[in-house]
Amino acid sequence: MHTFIVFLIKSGMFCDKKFKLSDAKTGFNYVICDFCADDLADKRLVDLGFTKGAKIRVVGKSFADQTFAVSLRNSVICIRKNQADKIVIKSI
Amino acid sequence: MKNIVLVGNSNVGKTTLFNTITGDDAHVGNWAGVTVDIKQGKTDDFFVYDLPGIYSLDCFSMEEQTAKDFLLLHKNDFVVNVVECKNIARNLYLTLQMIELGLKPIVVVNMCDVAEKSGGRFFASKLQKRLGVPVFVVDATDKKSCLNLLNNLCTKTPLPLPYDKKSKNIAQKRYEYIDSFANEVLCFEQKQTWLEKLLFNKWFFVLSFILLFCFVFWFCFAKNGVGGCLSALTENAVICFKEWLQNVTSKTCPAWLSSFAVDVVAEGVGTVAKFLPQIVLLFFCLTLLEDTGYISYVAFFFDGIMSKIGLDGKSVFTFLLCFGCNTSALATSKNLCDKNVQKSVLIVSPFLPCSAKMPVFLTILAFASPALGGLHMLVVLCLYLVCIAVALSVAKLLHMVDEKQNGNFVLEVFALRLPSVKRVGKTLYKNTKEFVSRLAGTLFLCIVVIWLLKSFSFDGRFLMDDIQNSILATVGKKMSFLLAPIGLDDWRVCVSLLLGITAKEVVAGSLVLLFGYSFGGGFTALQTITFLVFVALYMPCVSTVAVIKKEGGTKTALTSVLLSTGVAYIVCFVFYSFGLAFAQNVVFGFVACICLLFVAMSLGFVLKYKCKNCKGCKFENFTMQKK
Repeated sequence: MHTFIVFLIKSGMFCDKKFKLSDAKTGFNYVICDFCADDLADKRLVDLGFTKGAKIRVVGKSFADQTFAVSLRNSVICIRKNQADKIVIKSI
Repeated sequence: MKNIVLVGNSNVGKTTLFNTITGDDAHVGNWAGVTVDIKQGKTDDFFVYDLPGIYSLDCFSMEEQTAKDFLLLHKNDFVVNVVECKNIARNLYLTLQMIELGLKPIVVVNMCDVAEKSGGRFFASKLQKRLGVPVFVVDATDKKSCLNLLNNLCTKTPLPLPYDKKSKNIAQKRYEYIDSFANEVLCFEQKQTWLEKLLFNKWFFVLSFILLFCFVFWFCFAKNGVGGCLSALTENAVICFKEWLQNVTSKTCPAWLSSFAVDVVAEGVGTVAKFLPQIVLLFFCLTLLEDTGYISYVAFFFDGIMSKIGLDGKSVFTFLLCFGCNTSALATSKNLCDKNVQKSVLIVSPFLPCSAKMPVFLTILAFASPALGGLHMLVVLCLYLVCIAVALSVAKLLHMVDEKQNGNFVLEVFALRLPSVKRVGKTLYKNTKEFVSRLAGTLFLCIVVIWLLKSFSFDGRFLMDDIQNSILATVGKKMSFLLAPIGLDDWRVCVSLLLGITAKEVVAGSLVLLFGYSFGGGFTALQTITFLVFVALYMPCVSTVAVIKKEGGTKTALTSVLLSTGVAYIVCFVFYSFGLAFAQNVVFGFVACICLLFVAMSLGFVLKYKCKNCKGCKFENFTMQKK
């Protein structure tokens, strides 16, 4: 039984919870599930590679967690909390 | 002659390639948005145009609009798309957009050595096969490699793209297409170095920032630092030169020529020239920080604070550069995406003390030594802090009055690199040359003009030691009542402030010229400090106003001039009155301070309450109803 539960956890069945990028932990890998780009500034993020299925990792947060530095497609990009709120991710 | 246009993302090496091809020395840095205008250069067979760095052609910012217009409307024979090897997926996004627009880009892959050093491999032929456009691997710093590119330039019609150009989710489609072959074109995964990991830690960053800026300050300005020693040497040289000049000219030349030589050449220019080492060192430190890429970390960490006063992290670049020269710093304000942020930056930046104000501070302090004792460094530090505090308060006030920020911020942090001696040297040389040419041009002219005004009376007589009757004194005496409320009702102060509008360095030169060495005797410590604060804050110099007008329009320029002079006057008035109060009675001074604090707080509360809880100002409501 115990081995089976460990197997289930490792296979990612319980890790499929989706949450906002602003709630992500520093240093962990995630994948983007959804990003609703409604204004021009969000479209800029899509241009930079914030698209569905892209792998993403938070590398740093500035004071009071106002700005996030995320590593994406071999580059580090900084975005603000209100933009990070719109990006839905899940862990891998 | 054929036209080549260089286009690509920020910081991929377009300007480096441009410089190598044309032999020009345009400014290169390690952050986004160094190039703000389209630069033009020439080789034997080509005209070369360098566009500002852009991420897409969707016209998000002003440079993108400029770049798109140039690509579509200008006759370009070769569109060279410069691409950084390790970020190839994101860089190709722009390539696909150009292909969609019907252009025939030539892909030039730069910085392959960086990727290869970390174990990556790039396959140019595979990329060429996928897109159908010519792909070159080039090292932008290597002349041979660039010449090889120029000799083999050719265009090919790209292969048709496998997705619908008019699809609603076009960006997703483009990236899906790029991702389908990105892994076979480049085998590489970016890993952060230990230093980069450490710098992303807040506390380590704060520590490094404080240490670094304290070091820069000590290195450039402290008396026992490198800058202090060098300027002491130059000062001695200037004194020797002056004595020699006086000896030579007094024997051979008429009185007016001797006075001209000693007053203008030796005292005027020499006084400012002795601060040159410090300013060169300041430029050196800024260039070094810029070249390593440390400045993008500064922008990232300060964004949280700057967003509170309606600015963004990128404006820290402009602010830091303002400590060098306002004029050149404000030219970089173009790369701020938001127009409102740009406007605030343009208005706020001139409050920061530029390097030209430094000689003025030091000259005034050198004269006032008896009144201020050995507190020079402390006073300069306090002046810097006052300037920064006033700039931030003004930004906050502007933000309170006009809350139209969209609150978005995107910035790329680039990998740290070791500074290159060649790049730093080149930039340093360029900045110093610019500064010296300004010093020699405007300053010399102004000092000659003052000398003429000060040495001759209205009826054209040469006055040997009788400044009281000169043209300058007559005008200054008429104007000086304006400065009486801030305790500076001396016509010589008034005249030097007026002349400082042309360039701030002139205040130092003209003070020496007008006062001789008797400045400290006539002024109290309070008056000296009020004068310093006024010089630090009052209207920006003519060239800065010209840049503000160019970037933000006449209205912004006028606002800047009036606001800065007004703020300077108010701050000085408050400071001087409170200083007087304290000098008479400490208790009275304290009570006055508390009253002022109360007034300021209630003003802030009213502004905040009014702007947060109403749906727009009365004026705006009125105009809306009218519509």
